[in-house]
Amino acid sequence: MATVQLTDVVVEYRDGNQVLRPIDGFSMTASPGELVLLMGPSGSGKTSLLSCLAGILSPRAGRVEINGVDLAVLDENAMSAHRRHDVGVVFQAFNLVPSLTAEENVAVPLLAAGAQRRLALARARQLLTEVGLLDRLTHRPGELSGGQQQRVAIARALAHDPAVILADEPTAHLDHVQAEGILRILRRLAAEGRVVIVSTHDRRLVPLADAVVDLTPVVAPAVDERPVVTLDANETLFQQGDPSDFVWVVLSGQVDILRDTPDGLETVATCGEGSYFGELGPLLGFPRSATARAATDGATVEGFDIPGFREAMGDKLPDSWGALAAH
Amino acid sequence: MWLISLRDLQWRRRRFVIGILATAVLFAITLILSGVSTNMRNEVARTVESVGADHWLVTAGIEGPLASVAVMPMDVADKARNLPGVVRADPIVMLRQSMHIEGRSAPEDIVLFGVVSDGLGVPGLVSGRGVAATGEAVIDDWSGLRTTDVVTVGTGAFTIVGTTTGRTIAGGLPTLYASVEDVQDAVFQGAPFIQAVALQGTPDALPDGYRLLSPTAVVDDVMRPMQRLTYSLNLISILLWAAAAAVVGSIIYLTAVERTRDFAALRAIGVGRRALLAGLAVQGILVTAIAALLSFGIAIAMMPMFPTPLTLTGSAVILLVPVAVLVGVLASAASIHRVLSTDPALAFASA
Repeated sequence: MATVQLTDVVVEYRDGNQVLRPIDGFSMTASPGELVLLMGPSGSGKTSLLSCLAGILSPRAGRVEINGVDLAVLDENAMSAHRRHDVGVVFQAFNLVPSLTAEENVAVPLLAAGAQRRLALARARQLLTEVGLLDRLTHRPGELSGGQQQRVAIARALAHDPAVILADEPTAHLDHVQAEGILRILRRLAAEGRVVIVSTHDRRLVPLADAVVDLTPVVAPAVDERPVVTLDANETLFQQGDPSDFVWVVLSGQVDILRDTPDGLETVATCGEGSYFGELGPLLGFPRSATARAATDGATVEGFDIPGFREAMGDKLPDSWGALAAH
Repeated sequence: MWLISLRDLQWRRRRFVIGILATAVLFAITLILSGVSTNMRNEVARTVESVGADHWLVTAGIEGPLASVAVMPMDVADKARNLPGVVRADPIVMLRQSMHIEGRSAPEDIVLFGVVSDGLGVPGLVSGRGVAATGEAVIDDWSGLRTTDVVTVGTGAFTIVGTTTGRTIAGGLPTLYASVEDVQDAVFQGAPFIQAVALQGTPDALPDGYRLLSPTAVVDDVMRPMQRLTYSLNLISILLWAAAAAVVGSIIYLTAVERTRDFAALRAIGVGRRALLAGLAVQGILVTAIAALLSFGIAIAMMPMFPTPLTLTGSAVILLVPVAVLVGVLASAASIHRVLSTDPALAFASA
C-alpha cells in the first residue's frame, strides 16, 4: 500500500534578489488510511510541500517518495503519469475547466491517459454519484455552488483511484455547511485506505485528522533572559531561516546583517554600538530573514526578549515599534 | 483530448464565429484574386487558341501581333498559303479599340478581330449567327450586348448578329469579330493591311522580313504588359494569407492567455504538454478549415460584383483547404510558448 515519505526536504525560491526557504530539512511519513493535516501560517510552506508531492515542484534537497519511488528520478512523461495515476490533487480554487460539464471535468484525467470516452464518462458518472452529484452531471462549473465544484474536483482527483489525495485549502471558499460535506468526503477517502494530505488554516479539521504537521516557524525558547555574546570577526550569531529568539543590541564592535541572494550573501546593513537588530522575528514569530555575522573582532551583543527589550529601550524606540509590538 | 478543444470552441463560440467569418472573407478574397490572376492567362490562351493556328506569321522584329503595332500587306497571306508545308493561311487583324454603343455615352474597350469568313479565327457561337455580310459582327457575351445591337468602332458601324463566349483579353475586354475588309475600312481607312497570318502546318521557309511565333509566344506577348499586375495580385494573395494567419493566431493566442490557469491545472493533474499543444492546433485547424469551406460560398457570392471574369480553378479550391490547415497550425504556434511556459504550480494559487 502507498506510503508517503519526505526526507530532509528543502524548498527554496528566488524572489527577485532574495532566496526564500519556506521548507528547510523537513521530514514526514504518512501511511495508508491516514488523514494528515499540514497547518501553519501563509508562507510556512504547506502548498510547497503539496507541490513537491504532486511532482509539480522539485525540492532543492531531500527525497520525496511515493510508493517507494523517488520522484526526482522521473522524467517528464513519467512525472505526468505520476500526476495522473499516483496522486489526485484538489485545489483551493477548484480549477475546473469552465467549458466542460461536471462529468467531462471528472473524465479529463482518464481521457488524458487514453481511456475511451464512453468508459471515461461512465467512470465520471460513478464518481460524481459517490460525491452526491448525480443530478449535476451535465452542469458546468458556473452553474454549481462552491461546495459542488469542490466535490467535482474531488471526484476528478479520484478518477484514477490514486493512493494519495492532496488537498490544498479545500474548505477555504466554502461556508460551514459545504465545508462539512467536503470534510466528510475527505475522511471517508482516508478510511478507504488512501493517504489524504490536506493543507489548511481551518482548525475545524483537526479532530478529523490522524496526524497534524504544524509548519508554524518555531520561536526558540529563551534559555537566558539576557545573554551577552562576544564574537570573533566573521563569526555568525544566527543564520537566515533560523528560529527567532532575541532582539540583539550591539554593546561594542560591529555586526553585519547579510541576506542570501542568488549571487551569495549580500550585506544589507552594518550595526554599530548602541544599535539593535533582529526585532521582527521574535515579535511576529517569523524565522530569521537574514544572517548576523560579526564584522569586527570582539563584537559584543546582548539579547533581549520582547518585553525586556521594550523596557530596556523605552523612549529610544521609534513610534512604529510601539505599533508593531502592540499588534 | 479533443473534447476540451471542442468544448472550448463552443464555450467561446461568439469569438470563434467572428474569427471564422473574418478569416473566410480573407480566404474568399484570396480565391477571387487567384481567380482574376488565373483568368488573365486563361482567357488570353483561350482566345489565341480558338484561332486554331499552329503558327502565327508576323513582321520580323516584333514579339507578337497585339502588344506591338506592325502591319503587313494583305497579300502576304496569299504568299504564305503557297509556302511548302503550309496547309492553311488566313489573314488576321487584331487591335485594341474603343467601341461606342448606340444609346450609351461612354465608350467601351474591346479587342477587334478581323477574320475571313470560314477562315481561321472565326469564333464559335452561343447565340445568333456568324458574320455573313458587310457591317455585321459577332461579339463576346461578356460585353452584355445582344443581337441587333449596333456599335461603332473607328469609322465603321457594326450590327451584332451573334455572340460568342470566353473570348476576352486583359481582364475581361470582350472581342468583336468582323470581316477583315470591314475592320480595314474601320481602322485603316480601307488600306489592305493585316497584322498577322494564322497558319496551319509548318512552312519549310519564310519570306524575308517575317518570323513565326507559336501560339504560346503570342499568349506571352499579350500577357507581358500584365505581368506586373499579376505579380501584384499574387503578392496581395500571400499578404492576405498572412493576415488570415494573424487573425486566427490572435484568437488562439488570446484564448490561450485566458486559459493559462486551465493549462496549469490540467498539467498539474497529469495532462501532458503535447496534448495541450495538440488541442490548440486542433482549434486553429478547425477555425481555418471551416473558414476555407465557408470562403467558397462567399467567393461565389462575391464574383458577380467584379467587372472581370474569374476562373475558380479546381486546383485553387483543392489547395485552399490544406493551405488553410497549414495556416491554422502556424497560427496556433503563436501560443506554444504560452503553454510551454505555464507553470503547473499556478494551479495552487488562490483564485
